[in-house]
Amino acid sequence: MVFWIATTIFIISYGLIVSEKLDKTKVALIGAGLMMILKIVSQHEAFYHEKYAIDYNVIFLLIGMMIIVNILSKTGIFQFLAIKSAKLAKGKPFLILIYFTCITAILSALLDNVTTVLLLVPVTLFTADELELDPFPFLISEVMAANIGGTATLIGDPPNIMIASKVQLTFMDFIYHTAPAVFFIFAFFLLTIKFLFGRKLQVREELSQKILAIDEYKLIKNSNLLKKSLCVLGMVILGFITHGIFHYEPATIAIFGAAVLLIISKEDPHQVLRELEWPTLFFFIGLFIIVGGVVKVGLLSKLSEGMISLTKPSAENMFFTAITTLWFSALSSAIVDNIPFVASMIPLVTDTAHAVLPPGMDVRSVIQHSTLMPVWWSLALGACLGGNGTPVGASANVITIGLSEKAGYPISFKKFLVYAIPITMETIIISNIYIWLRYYIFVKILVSPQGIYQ
Amino acid sequence: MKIKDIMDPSPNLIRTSDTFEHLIKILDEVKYHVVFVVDKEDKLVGIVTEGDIIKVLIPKYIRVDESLISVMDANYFERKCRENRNLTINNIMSTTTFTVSEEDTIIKAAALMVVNKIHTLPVIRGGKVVGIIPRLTLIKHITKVLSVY
Repeated sequence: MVFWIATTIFIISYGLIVSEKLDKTKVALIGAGLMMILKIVSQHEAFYHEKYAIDYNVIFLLIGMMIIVNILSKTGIFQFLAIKSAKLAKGKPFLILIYFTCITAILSALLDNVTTVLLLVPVTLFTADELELDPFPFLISEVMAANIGGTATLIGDPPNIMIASKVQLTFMDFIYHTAPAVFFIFAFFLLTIKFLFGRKLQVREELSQKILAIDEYKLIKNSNLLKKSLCVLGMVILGFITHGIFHYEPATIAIFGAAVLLIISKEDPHQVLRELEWPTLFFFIGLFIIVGGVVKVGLLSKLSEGMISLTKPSAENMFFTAITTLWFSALSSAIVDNIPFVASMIPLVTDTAHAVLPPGMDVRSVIQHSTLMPVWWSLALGACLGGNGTPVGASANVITIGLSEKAGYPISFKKFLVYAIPITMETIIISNIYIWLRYYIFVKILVSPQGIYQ
Repeated sequence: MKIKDIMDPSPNLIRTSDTFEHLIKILDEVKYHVVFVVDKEDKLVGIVTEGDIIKVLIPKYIRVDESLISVMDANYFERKCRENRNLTINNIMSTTTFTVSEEDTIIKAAALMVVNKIHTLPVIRGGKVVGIIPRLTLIKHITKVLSVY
C-alpha cells in the first residue's frame, strides 16, 4: 500500500513538472509534504537520513556559488569580456561568434549557465545590432555552448553537482573524465557552427570599425569590487581543484568563499540573498524528499531490475548499461527538466550496482566501482548535453529564448529545434564514442585488470 | 457632472497602417501629444504617446542590461529614426487602452488615470472615438469648481 501511495505521488509530481501546468517548485514542495504527512518518510529521514534525506551538499554548493556569482555579476566583467573579445576579433562577425561561444562555454563551466547567458545575451544583442546582423547565430551558438561548457566540471551544471555529491566524486574527477569529452565535443561544435554560419556572417568594414571604437572599460562598474570578486572566485576554484586532497566537500568551499566575499565586498547581504534563485533551491529540496520516498519504498530498486534485464550489466562489464544511460538521459533531459531525472537516476544506478556487484562491499566501493564509473560519466554527459535538445531542455535555453523575444527577436520552437537536434545528436554521438574508446578500448590497453579506481 | 461636459470633442486620430514618419508630422500639430489609433471602421484599437515613440528608437536589450547604454554608438538614435521611417503604427502603439463614455462621471476618468498611471483617456461612443480627456482638462475643471464655490 505504502509502495503504491509513494509511487503515485512520484508519478503525479513528475507529470505535473513535465506538463508545466503548475509551478515546478510548488509541485515539488507539495509532493515532499505529502511524502512526510503520509509518513512514507519521517521528517527525521527527510532531513537527516543517509539515503533518503535532502542532499544539503547540493543545496549549499548552489547557494554558495549563487552568492559569488550574484556579486560578480554586478561588476560588469561579463559585458567587458564580451566587448573586449569582439575587439580582439577586430569586429569580424564570425570570429566574434567563435569568441563569444568560447567565453560562454568557459564561464558556464566555472559559474552557472543561467547567469552566464543572462549576462551575455544582452551584450550579444547589442553587438549584433551594432553589426546590423541577425542575432540568432550568436544566440543559438551561445546557448548550446553554455550547456556543453557546463558539462565539463563538477560545478558547471546541477546534474554534475548531484552526481558528485552522491558518488563522492571530486572536482578533479570531472576534469579527468567529463572535461576531455567536452573538449572534443566543443571542437566539433565549433566546426559545426563554422559550417552553419561561417559564410552568412559578413559585414561592411565600417561596421567592424564601430566595434573597435567601443571603450569596453566603461562597462566595468566597480573595479574594486571586481578585484575582490575575482580574487575570491580564484580561491574558490583553487579550493575545488584541491578539495579531494584536503578532504573538504565542495559545498564547504563555496559557502566559505561566499561568506568571505560578502564580508570584503561590503555588499548588503539582505539584497544579495533576496536575489538568489530560491524557487530553484526549494525545487531541489522538495524533489530530494520525493525521490527519498520512492527510494525507501523500493520503487527505484524495482526499476533497476528492469534496467538490469534490459542492459544485462555484470560485475566485469556495464558497457550497454552505460550507453543506454547516455542516450536515455539525453532524450529525457531534452524533454523534461534534467534535475528530477538525475535525482531519480542516481538511486536507480546505485541499486543496479548493488544488485550486480559482489555482495559484502562497502557503499563507497560499490558506487565508485571501476565497472560502474562509465555509467556515472554517461549519466552526466547525457543529462547535461541532452538539455540542448529542445527549447525547454535546460534553463539556459528558456532564458535565452525569453530575452531574445523581449528584445524583439523571437526564436520559434521549430527554428530552435532545426539547429538544436542535429547539434545535440552530434554531441551525444561524440560522447558515445568517447565512453566506448576511453573506458572499453583504451582502458584494456593502458590499465591493469584491477581497474582504474580501485 | 459628466464627461461630455468637459471633454475636448476634437481628438487626433491615426490609422494602424500609417507610418512612423506620418505620425511624427501630425504630432507637431496635435494639442496633447497623444494620438488615438483607429482601424478601417474608425474603431479605437490603440494609443500612441510620446513614450511609445521614444520606445521604438531604444533597443529593447537595454531594458535587460542598462550598463550597455554607456557603450552605445553616439549616432544610434538618429540611425534608428531613419531606419524606422516606414514602420507602421501597429508596431508602435500600445494596445491596452482604458476608455470612458460621454455619460460617465468625471470621478471615473480621474480614478482611471490615477489607478492605471495614465495621462489621457479617449471618450468612446459605439467603439468610435468622440472626444479626449487629458489630465489638463481635469485641472481646468478643478479651477472652475473652485471659482464657483
